[in-house]
Amino acid sequence: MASSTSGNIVIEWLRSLHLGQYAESFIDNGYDDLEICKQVGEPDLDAIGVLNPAHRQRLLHSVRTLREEGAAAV
Amino acid sequence: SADPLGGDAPEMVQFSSVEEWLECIKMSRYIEKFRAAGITDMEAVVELTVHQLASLGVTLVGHQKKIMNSVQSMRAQIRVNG
Repeated sequence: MASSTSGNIVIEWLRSLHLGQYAESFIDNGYDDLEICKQVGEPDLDAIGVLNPAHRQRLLHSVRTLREEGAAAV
Repeated sequence: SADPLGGDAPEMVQFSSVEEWLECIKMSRYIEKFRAAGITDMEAVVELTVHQLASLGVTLVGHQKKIMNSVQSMRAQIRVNG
């Protein structure tokens, strides 16, 4: 079962944050649209395997922006 | 050997056990939780609700979505196949 890793908005979002290396893991864990990514917190990052503190901070900051400004912020 | 329906044909995956299904969708970390909740066969799996998932310990929204997507596609296959 191959997961699609092209043309997905989550992948674009991660690339815009220079965190494209986590794209496959986001998709594999079910975080495959921005609505669901808006709900990402610390436990989600643990499951996805984002362990680097700087990367976690960058993602959580962007998740807040997503919640406040919607997908237009990407 | 070319399939005339190509990639458009729905995948007709038949899982023989809850363990096999969870492994296939990369959610094998929940095998024990499903077992503890008494969801031990695929008949119980196709009846799953998101509420049930949360109460058995699947709290991450991404994982809930992934599992429910798979459940819904199995339900659709059951409808198609009769």
